[in-house]
Amino acid sequence: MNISINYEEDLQKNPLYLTLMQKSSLLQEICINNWIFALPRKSSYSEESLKNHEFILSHILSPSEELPKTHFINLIGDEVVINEQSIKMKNDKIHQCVILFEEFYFTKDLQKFKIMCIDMPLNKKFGKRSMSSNSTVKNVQESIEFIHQNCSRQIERKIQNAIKNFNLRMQKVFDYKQLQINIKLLYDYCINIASNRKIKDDQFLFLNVKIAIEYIVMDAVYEKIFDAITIENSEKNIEFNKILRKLSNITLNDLNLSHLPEVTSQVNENINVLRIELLKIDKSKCAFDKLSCIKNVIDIISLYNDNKLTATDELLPMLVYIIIKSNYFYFISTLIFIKEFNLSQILNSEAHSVGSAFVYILTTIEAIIYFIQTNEHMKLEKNQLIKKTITIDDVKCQTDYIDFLFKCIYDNDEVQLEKYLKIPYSVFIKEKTSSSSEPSSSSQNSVSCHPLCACLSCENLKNNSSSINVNLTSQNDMRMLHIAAFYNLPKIVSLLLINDAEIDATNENGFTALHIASMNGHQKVLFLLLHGNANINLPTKDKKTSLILASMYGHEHCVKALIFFSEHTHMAININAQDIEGNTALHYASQCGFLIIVDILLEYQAKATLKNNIGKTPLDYAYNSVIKKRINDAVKYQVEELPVAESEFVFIRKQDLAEIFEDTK
Amino acid sequence: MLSDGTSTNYTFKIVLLGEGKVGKTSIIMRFVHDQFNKQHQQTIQAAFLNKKINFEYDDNRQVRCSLNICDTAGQEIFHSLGPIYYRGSNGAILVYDISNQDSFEKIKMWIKELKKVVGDDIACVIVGNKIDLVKDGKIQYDISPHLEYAKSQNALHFLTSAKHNENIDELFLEISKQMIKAHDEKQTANATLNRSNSMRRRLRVEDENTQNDESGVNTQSGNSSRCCGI
Repeated sequence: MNISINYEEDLQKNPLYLTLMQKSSLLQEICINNWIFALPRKSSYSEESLKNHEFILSHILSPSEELPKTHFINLIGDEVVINEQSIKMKNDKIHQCVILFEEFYFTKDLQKFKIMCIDMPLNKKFGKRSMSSNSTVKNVQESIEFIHQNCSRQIERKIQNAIKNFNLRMQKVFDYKQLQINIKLLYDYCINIASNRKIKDDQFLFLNVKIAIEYIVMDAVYEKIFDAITIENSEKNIEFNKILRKLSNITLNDLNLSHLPEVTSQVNENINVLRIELLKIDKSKCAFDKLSCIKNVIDIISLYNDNKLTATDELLPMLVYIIIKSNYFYFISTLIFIKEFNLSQILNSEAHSVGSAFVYILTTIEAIIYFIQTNEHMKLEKNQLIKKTITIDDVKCQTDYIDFLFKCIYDNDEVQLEKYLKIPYSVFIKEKTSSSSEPSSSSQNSVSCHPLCACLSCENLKNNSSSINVNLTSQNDMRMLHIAAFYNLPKIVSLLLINDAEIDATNENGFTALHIASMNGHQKVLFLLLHGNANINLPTKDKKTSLILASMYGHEHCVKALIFFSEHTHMAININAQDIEGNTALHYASQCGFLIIVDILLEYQAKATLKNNIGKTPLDYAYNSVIKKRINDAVKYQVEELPVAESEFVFIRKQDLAEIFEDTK
Repeated sequence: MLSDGTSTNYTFKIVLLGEGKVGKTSIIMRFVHDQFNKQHQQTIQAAFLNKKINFEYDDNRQVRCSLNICDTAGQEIFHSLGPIYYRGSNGAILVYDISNQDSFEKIKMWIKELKKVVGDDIACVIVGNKIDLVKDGKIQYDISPHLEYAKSQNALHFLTSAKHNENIDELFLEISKQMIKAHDEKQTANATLNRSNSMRRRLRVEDENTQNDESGVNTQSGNSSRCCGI
């Protein structure tokens, strides 16, 4: 674990503290002079020392103007040095006291002084020989070692047996509730046998035992219970993961962080470092370990913020960003795990300040998840595809004209769109400039003599007019068809298709309208495009096919539409297409836990053994044991096809057939 | 909330509310800042801070308060997250900038929301920060309407200067006393309830649940799932 759970005690029960409280004149003096009281922790000094007046005086430190700020003189005249984490007597090179925590004391007239709790008396002669440790265990190894030191051999064995028994009994159990109850029983049982009276009397030692047992128990049962959580909550997970995918292209500017340009660019540059730090959450098996991963991410962010302390206003959007970019799909399960399985109840012991810090991180995760859930459309709203305020009067140049046409699509205004589709910009602008003087005079140019007229100029007009504007592109190569597919407007799509829109036109990222419809889950538009003969296997610049996009974003109805359409029209879909990272549709669906899509893909013989560029198969990415099982079952029935060399393929063209036909004649 | 049987040891959660740039962060930093080692503080940047103070309460008891101070996000897009942060807090410090009337208007909104979510038990302190600006003669400031509002909401009002460390300790001591008072009253109320028949006690528990449910509904404006979706 990365944050240590610090030693803490109630000063009101520390005999030396109480002794000082009784000496009101000394107390007043401390306040007036702003001295520091270094208080050794309760169990570190002997009772005899209390009777020695020197004991208390040696722990009251007064600053001195002649010495550097870190140097103090105690009331018996020794020089004491305070560093970041420790206090020591200047003339004692070896003996060093660790500062455990600090508190403040206020008098009625609001004078105050500082109390520093230290792990042992400044002067060795007041100390006790044997002292219990002041730090907690930080991982499984330390926990096992700790139990070994503090409990008898017999108890150790009992704990081991209890865990072994548990695993045997629970082998066939997959029910979340049952597992949950049994894990809690197991934990309570272990705590019960491990804590003797000596341990229970020492609060801090007892806390340590609780943490150690949590490490040991969780180490044995984590995989099982976490899997059960993801299955139990699969719907919530799927819903959340779809949103994560949807928001995956988000930038920090979308989150109102433009006022911190330096930090945001640093975070952007180091997003991989932050991701790796966050992904440690996957490997941690204890609730507080998981929370400390988030704490570490927060600390790294503040490094980029020039070591200035970062407030919630900045932290929250950055964490939202990192979580969306993390490519980790177990946040909902993680949140439930932390809430339900902090076995040692550290999170609930708010009296201990570390508990409350953890609770704050938990609150933050909860807030972020809620924020992501309620801001699903953030990307859509921030999206700059459409200038929403543009009107026909604003059109001053060709780009404005395109913006205006896009706006017509956005408004789903078929009539307006149909009208302007046929008016080229040059005509439009001429009309507009002259319209003030003599309206509609020049518009005659673009109108045929009579609706049924067939003279040459009219014929020309008819032939050209339909497609005059339909394939115009904006700066980022977006076309009207893309916009209509993006905003899910089937009527407009068919209007554009009738007007000869180029169906497989790509935008700057190589997306066709079909890609956009698949990615956004617009099934009607998808069907229209497929019926309009869109190329079903075309890849984007990242080599993602429509099927990959639909699977990646969790749109099962689009996956079905693509596969069924291909089945019924002999337009063979490449179900095993791999994108630039080598991932197939099955990789993406398996990774996010989209069970229905996994099932469809497997039914249509998606290969479960294909490796991506880093050698991972869909099975390696399986979200939980249910998906793992489906894929495993499919693998058994999928017969390994023999590789066919390309030269063995024979392409038969129409002419070839004709020749053969003629030959036989 | 009590960490042990004697009522000298308290743990309180305080939320800090206020628009950006009113000096929220400076106030807590000033309060917590004069501590030596940064390693051992249980702080999470300026977002969460813990400070323990010992002092003599009005009834001559020596008390020890562990204050957990949570910063909240003031930005509009994060507004809906507020209730997640207020939950279970004993006190709220609402900061406005005395040179900025708008920041005071925001406070009125927050107080309303707080009382909806947490109930009347929460100890509220309204803080006008940047009082140094008045002393420097840079701006004119009329405190009376703010004092009146604070009174009407049963909240204390403080004028502070985080820059010159004025009134900061007083502010935190006062809110601690308020919270102790509220906590003790609740404790005695509970004790009397416990002594009376168990029927009434069960009723009380149900009350609390419905109250929580209501606050849940308020926080998500009609959405039927709970606020975090869990």
